[in-house]
Amino acid sequence: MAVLPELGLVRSGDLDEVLAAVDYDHAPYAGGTELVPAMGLGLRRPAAIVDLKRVEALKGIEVDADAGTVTIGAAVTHRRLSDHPVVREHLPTLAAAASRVGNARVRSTGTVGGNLCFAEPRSDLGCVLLALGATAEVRSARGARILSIDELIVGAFETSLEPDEILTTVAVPFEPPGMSYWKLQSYERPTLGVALVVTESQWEVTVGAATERPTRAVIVAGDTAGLAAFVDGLELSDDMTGPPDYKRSVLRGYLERALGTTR
Amino acid sequence: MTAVPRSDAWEKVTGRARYAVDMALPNMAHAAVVRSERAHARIAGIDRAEAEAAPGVIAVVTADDLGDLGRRFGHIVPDHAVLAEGKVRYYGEPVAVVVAETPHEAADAAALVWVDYDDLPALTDSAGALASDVLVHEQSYTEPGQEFLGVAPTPSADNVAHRNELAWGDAEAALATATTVVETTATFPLVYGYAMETYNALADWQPGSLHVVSTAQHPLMVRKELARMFSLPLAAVRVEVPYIGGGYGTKSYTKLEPLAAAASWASGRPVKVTTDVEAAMYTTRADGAVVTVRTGFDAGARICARDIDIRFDTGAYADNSPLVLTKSINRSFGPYRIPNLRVRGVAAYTNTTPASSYRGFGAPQGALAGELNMDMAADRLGIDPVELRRRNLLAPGDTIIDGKRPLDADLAADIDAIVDALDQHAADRDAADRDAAADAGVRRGRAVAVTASDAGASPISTAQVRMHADGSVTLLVSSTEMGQGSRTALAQIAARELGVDLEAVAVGQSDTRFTPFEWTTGASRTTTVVGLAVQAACADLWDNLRAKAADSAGIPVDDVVVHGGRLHLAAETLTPAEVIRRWFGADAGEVVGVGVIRRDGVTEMLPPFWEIGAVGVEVAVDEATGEVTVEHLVTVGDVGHAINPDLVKGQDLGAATQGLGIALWEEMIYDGEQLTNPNLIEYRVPRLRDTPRRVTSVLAERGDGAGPYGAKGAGEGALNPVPAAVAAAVGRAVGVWPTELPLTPPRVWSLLHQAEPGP
Amino acid sequence: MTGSPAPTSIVVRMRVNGHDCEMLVPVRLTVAELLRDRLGLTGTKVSCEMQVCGACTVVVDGDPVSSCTALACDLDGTEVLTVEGLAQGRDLHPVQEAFMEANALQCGFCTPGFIMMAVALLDACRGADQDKIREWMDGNLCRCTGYAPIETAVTLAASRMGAGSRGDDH
Repeated sequence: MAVLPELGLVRSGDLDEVLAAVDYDHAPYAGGTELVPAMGLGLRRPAAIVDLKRVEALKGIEVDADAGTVTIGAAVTHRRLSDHPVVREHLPTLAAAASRVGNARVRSTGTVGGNLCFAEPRSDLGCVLLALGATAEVRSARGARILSIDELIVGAFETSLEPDEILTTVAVPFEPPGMSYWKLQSYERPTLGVALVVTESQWEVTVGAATERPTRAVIVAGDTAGLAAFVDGLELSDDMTGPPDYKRSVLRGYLERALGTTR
Repeated sequence: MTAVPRSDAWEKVTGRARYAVDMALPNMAHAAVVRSERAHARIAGIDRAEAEAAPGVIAVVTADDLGDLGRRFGHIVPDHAVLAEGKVRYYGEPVAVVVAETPHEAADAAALVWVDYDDLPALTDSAGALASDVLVHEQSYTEPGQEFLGVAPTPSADNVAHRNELAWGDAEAALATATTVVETTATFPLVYGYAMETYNALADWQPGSLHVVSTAQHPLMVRKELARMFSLPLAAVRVEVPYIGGGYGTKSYTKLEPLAAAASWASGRPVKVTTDVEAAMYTTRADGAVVTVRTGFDAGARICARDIDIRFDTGAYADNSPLVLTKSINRSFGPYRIPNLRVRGVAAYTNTTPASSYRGFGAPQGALAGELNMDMAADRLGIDPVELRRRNLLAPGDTIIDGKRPLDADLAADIDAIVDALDQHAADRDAADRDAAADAGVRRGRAVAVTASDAGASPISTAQVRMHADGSVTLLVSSTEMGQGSRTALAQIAARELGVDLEAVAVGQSDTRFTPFEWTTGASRTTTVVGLAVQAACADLWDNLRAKAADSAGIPVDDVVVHGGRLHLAAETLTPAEVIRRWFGADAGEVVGVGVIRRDGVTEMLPPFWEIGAVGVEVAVDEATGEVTVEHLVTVGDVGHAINPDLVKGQDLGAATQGLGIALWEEMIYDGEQLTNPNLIEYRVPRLRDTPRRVTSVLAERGDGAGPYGAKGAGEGALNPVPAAVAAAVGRAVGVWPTELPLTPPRVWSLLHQAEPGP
Repeated sequence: MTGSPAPTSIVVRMRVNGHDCEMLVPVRLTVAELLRDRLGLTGTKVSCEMQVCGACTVVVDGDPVSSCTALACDLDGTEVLTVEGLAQGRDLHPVQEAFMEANALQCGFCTPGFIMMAVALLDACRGADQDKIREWMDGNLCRCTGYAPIETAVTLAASRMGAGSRGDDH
């Protein structure tokens, strides 16, 4: 059986204390669904983990009706996200996507923040949150920054977080009408995810899982050439879930059906 | 007989069932294995000073520290290094073992063992290995005349781990004159059996004795190898096997036991060695295969010849692959009338995880090409594939291989049952009120496949029944319980033979110190071969009871008649318990019966039985994604007699599901020297939502087996034809015959695009 | 918080199968190691170590958790239920009974994990329907049975345990 390396623990209920502790050797830790296996495999070797789960400020789900946003704490689990009435009312596509992440154990322990900050490309939430135009609040002892999801996730397993920063909350505008999320998942993790926001005037298409990071395009409704150019221009991954040609074909086929552009 | 509940169910649902990984011994130490990070390299040096100085470390053991111990094991070819010596032959090979007080200390110190390598060219595919001047093994390990189960090892040279051939008639000439010749080449992937309890062993060496608790399916085979390694008498080596968390053949023969035993010997402590999934994938896999089948047909679509070439990728060590190759040869051509046959097999050494037994034992590899070839031939000949099979199938009593047991099954009837079930499903589907949209973009295909395996292994088995003073019974066998339900089924046989309630029969765990000799637990043999031994033991027990009843009464033994579970004397009728108590003169004592099976009587002719695989599948292929859904799976358990029907159906569905895994998902992928998917995230096995939409499990009970009450074995049969059946069904659905498994969505998508060139 | 190095062991207080328990645990210790190696509760099995197979599933404060990759230090203040804690004396939990009745096990190595997953599901969602059962139980692997009997067992237990819910599921 695999064994974890020697590890220290910083635990506090106070956000400032937590922020004071986080650095390159002191890794933020919440659900552990990504970090613990990564430490077991020797891919991450922090001296200590900094537990975020006891910081109440990171566990809220709050609605601001005036602003039309739901603010979600980074330490909120997928399960809580998918079951929360506010999320189900204002962000039903996000709630549904969260209800299908991993398995029931991963959903019980894994968190929104962990999912975004690990930046595993084969993931759902980044794609859906980018499509929703969510923003992330990132904090360190030095202060706070607000980033778009695009600015936060900059590559495969790569975020723009500094070693002393943590993601604290994600502010998500209420879901617009005409939104959907579809994924192809033949393996443990998704092969391809597509979030759509379709209005009379435009198609917003966000592609995830098959790309290094979620990628969004806004296309004038009916502009099939523009849509094709976007699909053809995507850099799709080549891995065991399939070669780029395959993923592009599945994506093209899905978009044709979903947007009613079948030739 | 009857579907009684499993005797192990309570233990298993309460978490009380003991597995090897749960076992501990006083003063036990823990091992961590340092594994090679090269596929093929000379070991230039091992620096272990830092590890030896680490907290809690008791010993660091390398090949140089093995003293007088045997350095290599292998029941056919003794080529398998306990610890790599001089060079490593595959990525993940054990190079050193660190023994420490705790698992954490052992793992921490193992990271401080530094191995220097001088790289050698790595051979990672079988064709390349056979053509290469680079040798995986520079020496041959076999002695002239040495053989195992009639398999004589091939002296290794040119990376050939084993070579074998089976032929009759003149296949070449017959193919030259055949009306139609159909050729098929199919690639069977490298697969990992994933028994959920990964390999582990706990060894306790003491002067003059060795006690091992492990996940071994064949404890007596392991005992033999350990006795040789330690130069100990067989009796001094005790191999104990509690419940096994999944076997499927992947725990056959010797795995981690020599490593654990060497660590215990070197450290003077009981030592436990465990593996994680990655290390388990470096321990054993199934042989990958490329098989080419050429079949010639006459004008009446009757087979006139089959010519088959089998090439195995056997990995770095031979293990059981020479036998698997031999069985693959016997199982590749199918239960058909074939007047001219030639099958040639070669197993190649490569610098990959060593291959050995896995459920089906060469049959799935051979049948993939063999049965796919029958479907391709049917198309070419313009005949229904089932009709083509019917025209060529052997009948009960026909010879499959000269000198072996005639066919003890009615394959035509089995196929009829499959076709009926498949037709019923199609009719139900057509009758149902269906949403046409659900069918858009879906292509369907169905196929039938059939195999016959010379199963049962060597019919050497011993059973002991001990009847106690109250008439209850302890049954001792060395057959291991890995989920197949052998303890339940064997108890049922004993209860029936002795006329006692099932609750009055206890079955002990396999322990070579206490339980009697058993060849193996594999080749689907237990119910048939061990069942016969249990029957013989019960008969012996009745003889002993009769003798004691006669002795107590002072009458000739012939005057005691056994009938209806009682002993009838002229003056009175006694229960067995009364006989025992009377003879001992107390409410005490016990009477023992021993049953021995060898190549004699019903088991004189080999194989003990032909294990039939007969399945049908209907698949649906999503045109957009290439995803394959198994709409209907039909299995026929042609078992002669089902001692416990639920257990047989459980074996059939479980085996078929593993077949579906190989057909659709499972593949160890090497990218250069290294396995790229050594985990269950990327080595995908069947999940609950992959299960067939409908399953029809048919039991064919025709009493035609050599085992108890006409029984024959089950357990592997339902896997063997499944990869072939799925490949043929997908081929029919998409219009292109697959040439390799698994049929993952991208691969099926690619077949779809071969069928219809894109715009 | 800066200055002193982070401790590598902490004291946790928890309830395991109804018993209060206080231990000093290394931060690196997993829940599975705590249960199996320190508390002797070997019913919890470890297999894939990647949260895929579910053999190690235990229930922590009502939620199913992969004990192989959860840290024991997180158990402080929680209530842990393992397969050993299900039966009330000699009376089995309805899920255990259903697994026996449906012949939903072979080698048994995955069984405790499946049972704990089903217990968590039926605790969260008493009247779980077929879709819900398949969605939850799809997160556990079995290599022996082909799953059909397991699905039957959970369905049987669901029907026996009746409707009702912990309230935070749907």
